Amino acid sequence: MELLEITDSNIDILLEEFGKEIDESGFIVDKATKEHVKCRYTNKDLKRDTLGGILPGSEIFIENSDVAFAGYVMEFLSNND
Amino acid sequence: MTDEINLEIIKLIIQNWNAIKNIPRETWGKIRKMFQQGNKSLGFIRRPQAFLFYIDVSHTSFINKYAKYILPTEYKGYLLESIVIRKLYQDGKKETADKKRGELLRTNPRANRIFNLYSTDMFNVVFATIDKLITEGRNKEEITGISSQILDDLINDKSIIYVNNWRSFEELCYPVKKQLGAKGYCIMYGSGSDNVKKIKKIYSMIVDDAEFQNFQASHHKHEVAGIPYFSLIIIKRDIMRGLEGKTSD
Repeated sequence: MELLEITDSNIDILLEEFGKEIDESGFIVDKATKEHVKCRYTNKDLKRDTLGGILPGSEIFIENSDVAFAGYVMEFLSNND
Repeated sequence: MTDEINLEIIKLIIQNWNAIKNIPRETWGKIRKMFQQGNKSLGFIRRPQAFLFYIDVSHTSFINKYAKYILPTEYKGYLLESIVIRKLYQDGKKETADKKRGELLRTNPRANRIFNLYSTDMFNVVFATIDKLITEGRNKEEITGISSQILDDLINDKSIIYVNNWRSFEELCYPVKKQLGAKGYCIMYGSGSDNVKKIKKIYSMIVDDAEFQNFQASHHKHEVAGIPYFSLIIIKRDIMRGLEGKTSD
């Protein structure tokens, strides 16, 4: 997997292109449904500063935490055959 | 989309990553489609080195063998993080380990439970069972079903005997024998010198008594806030065989 780093200078464009925006409380929401975007592994509502990754397997948004990283790796990148 | 087209799209994204505004909307649409189709060639991540570290551990650790049989899926991540944290403690990196443990604890109670089960070797019952079922030639569904049931019992505290709750060794023998007969394994946990004596007696019974010649016992000690805690895992030899040394990276 090629990994491209999310930084403060590209995060807004990334969110925009993945159909997300920031609501008035600072949470990332889906543009169409206005629902909060949650981390699949920690179940926390994500904010601009707490977004850790946007990853394949559908479109998976994860928190910037080691638990979330470990969760994604084990679900999608480990030996699950 | 063919692999060739996908590679072209990824190449275009990488080349323009520092000038992200130059990437056409059409290309983003293709990237999203690739993501939705499960193509794992590209990902966007805040801390690439940390992410790569977890990929590396997942591929090189013993967990690589067992993860596919463990459900629900989120437990696999908790287990991987527990392996990383335990290794940090073993390497004397307490500050980093404590910080990561706190994060695990805040995630949810089950994440913390997985850590406790792994760090006290109680998780070995699950690994040993998976090994036995693989040796028996069982299929993936059977192995996943049985090992998940054992893990569920451990998570929900249905299969651990708390020695402190039993007044004497004689009283303790009954639930131990009952569980060994029913499940083929038994886990005991206790603290304080009186309870440790009970655990040691049970251990001696397993080792010395012919009635338990088909069982094997292993013990584990750790301290929390200066209080010693002991656990004893008794498991049928044919389940336990071959596991030692494989489950602590």
